[in-house]
Amino acid sequence: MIKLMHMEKHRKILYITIKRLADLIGLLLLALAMMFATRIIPW
Amino acid sequence: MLWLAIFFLLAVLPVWVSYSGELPPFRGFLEELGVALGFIGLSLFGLQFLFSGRIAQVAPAFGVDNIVQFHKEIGVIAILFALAHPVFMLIADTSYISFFDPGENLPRAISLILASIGMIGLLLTSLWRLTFGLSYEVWRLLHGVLGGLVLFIGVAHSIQVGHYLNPLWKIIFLAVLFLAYGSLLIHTRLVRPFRNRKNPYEISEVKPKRDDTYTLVMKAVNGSRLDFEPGQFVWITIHDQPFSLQQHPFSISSSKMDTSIAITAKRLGDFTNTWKNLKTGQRAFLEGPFGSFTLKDKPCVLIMGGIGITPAISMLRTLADQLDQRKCILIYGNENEQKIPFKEDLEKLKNKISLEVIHVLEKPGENWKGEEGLIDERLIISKLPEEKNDFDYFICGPSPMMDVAELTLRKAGVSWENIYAERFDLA
Repeated sequence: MIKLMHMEKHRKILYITIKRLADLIGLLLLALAMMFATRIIPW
Repeated sequence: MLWLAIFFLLAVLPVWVSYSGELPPFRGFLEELGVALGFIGLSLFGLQFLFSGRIAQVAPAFGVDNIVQFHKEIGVIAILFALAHPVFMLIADTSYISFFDPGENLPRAISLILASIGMIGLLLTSLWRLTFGLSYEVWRLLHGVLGGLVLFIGVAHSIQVGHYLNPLWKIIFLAVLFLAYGSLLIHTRLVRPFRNRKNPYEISEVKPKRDDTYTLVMKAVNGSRLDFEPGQFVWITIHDQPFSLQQHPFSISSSKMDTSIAITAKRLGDFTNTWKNLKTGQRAFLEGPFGSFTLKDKPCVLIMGGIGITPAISMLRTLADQLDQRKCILIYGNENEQKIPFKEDLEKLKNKISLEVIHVLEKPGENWKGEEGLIDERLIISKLPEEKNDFDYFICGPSPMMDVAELTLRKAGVSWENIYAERFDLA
């Protein structure tokens, strides 16, 4: 996200993993929001 | 993974509950998406209060710096989701602008405008605190107040609109859930200090060290000093009462076996600048301990820079007190010989435990016979023990040094599980 632009070249792998994890959670939740919005779920 | 699954489930819970049972008529995708994003955003927002809670069961499993980073990342996502809610609603139907119209409903308009400004304020001040010139105390107060305000308005708004919150049990469920999140903030900022007032500490000594560095030695007034593992840190409030905005995290520099507890810091900010003028007998309150940057059973390699050495000093002093003769290698970077904090202490420790100290000086004097320059890949590789994975590695110091050290250790084949690094710039 925003902080990615300020990241140093050699950031620790864990740092990037957390960032990707957070982004992944964000994307999954966005997908879920869409599913709720289209009423695919709840079943 | 378990914690992540719980986090994810909690994030979805409010929207799941709201969309269960009999639903109101479908209003079009954009409008429904706006509502779903609002619910998830609010839920993620509420979950942020778990991070402020400094929960003892969660923090050691991940390391506080990683939790703070996760809090930042998810916090940004929470605010983006929550801000997307009015945007999508307005795109779907411009008549929703009336929610912001003071003429139509003054309290609603004021609270929604406040919440929107509050969220943007939270985002900007957290990502660019220093750019805005905010001191840590002011930012922390602002962060708590804005966070609490936005959560309260968000929950009140969803209940007031109540489109998906019929029957009543859904409202009660959401109210209880978010009350629980909010109470974590109240617990951390009010209840915990209130309990802490019964365990005051007294500053028994202010020791000036080299290079504008000071050690505060504190004794528990009631005699019961908090128990900690060497390498951990505490939040300290130096005030007659525990309710103060001045609460800062500092690594403990004393041995686990001491009856007193000490922290050491360099004069770098407003708070540490006041240390040299502190009088003995001054009250202080400690909260903690926190952190997973702790000594395990293995021999260790400590890669430290400047004042970042404080947790390592606690580890080494504890080993000396426990007559533990495991092998320890300390690679310690400083600008010059005069600026090495704990230089004399390290010399004494070398005589008591199996400690090898490798000083690395950036700008050494003419008579220096040790390592010169910065702690880099070549130097670290040359000092690594042969049985690399039999050792634990602890890294603390300036960020570029930590980056180089971590990368080098990984390149050299050291397992991540053996590398401990804690970075935080809260102080």
